[in-house]
Amino acid sequence: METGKYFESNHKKLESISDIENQWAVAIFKCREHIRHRLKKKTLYGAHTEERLGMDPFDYYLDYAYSAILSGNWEWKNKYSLSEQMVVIVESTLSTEVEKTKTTKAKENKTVLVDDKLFYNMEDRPTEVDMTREILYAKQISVIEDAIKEDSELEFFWDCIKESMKRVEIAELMEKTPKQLDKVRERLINKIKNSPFFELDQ
Amino acid sequence: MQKSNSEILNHFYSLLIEMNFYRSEEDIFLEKKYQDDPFIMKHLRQIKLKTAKYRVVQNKHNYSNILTEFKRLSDIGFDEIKKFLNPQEQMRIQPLFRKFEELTEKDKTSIEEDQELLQLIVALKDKLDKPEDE
Repeated sequence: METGKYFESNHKKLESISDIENQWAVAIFKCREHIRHRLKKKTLYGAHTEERLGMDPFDYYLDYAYSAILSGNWEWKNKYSLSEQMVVIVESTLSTEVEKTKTTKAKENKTVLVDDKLFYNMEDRPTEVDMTREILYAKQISVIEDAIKEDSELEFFWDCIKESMKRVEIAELMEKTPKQLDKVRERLINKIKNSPFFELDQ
Repeated sequence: MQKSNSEILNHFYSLLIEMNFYRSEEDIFLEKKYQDDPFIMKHLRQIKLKTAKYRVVQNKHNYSNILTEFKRLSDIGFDEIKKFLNPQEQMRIQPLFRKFEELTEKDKTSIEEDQELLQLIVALKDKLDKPEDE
């Protein structure tokens, strides 16, 4: 167990937060959501199995992220809140684990993590889609489209997703604030979360 | 161009990731609801433990650096160091040097808490490391 060169600056930031327990709880919550959505991208499963990591992937990536901040081995950048910095570390570690499972040639192409890549990493897409997986994808899409039928707001939201629009673009087009758009997302998730086709995908 | 189902779902999850990242932190937990979540509580306990452990490691590291610096100052010798000090500083450091020469284990522990001594060591280190700038 060793401390790093960012120990003092990271701890100074932590000490300046008045409701620190709540902020850590938010960070854990957001990281868990991030890992959950990332693991749903089926092609990455192999890199994140409990067998490979030696522990549950949620525990593994979270432990890595807060240890990196607390030890001072990872710089907590001024532009990020605690939860954002934690998600950035989790994403970087997830990507590193994926890289480890790729070929040597792919490993040499070291990628730089920028905000957009944090969310829209097209390398996650499967390169070979087998018949079983294609049937599952088709079923999932039909579950979503059945669930939102006759709800014009959700249908509009889904159309935006199918057009590969990002958060800001969707909010602008739907004339919503980010907070209002978050409620739309929540309604969509609530409609599909109990579907066995999405449970299977977790 | 028609998108495949995998492309649509991939974008769907990517959008969820983006929205999660920017989600308002104030809205996530109202009235400390996280206390009902065993996963979050388990990791909060781990964070408390790790915070304490890393602080101990860092304190040891700081202490070791202080002793190394003190040893360096001692090797240079008080007469040499005096050249970098004003009379007031010389008066302050003289008894401290004697203290260092007779250092016991108990004293070593108290050095870490002796803010006056620590500030003096830092000031001396700066003067010795950058004599050209003076």
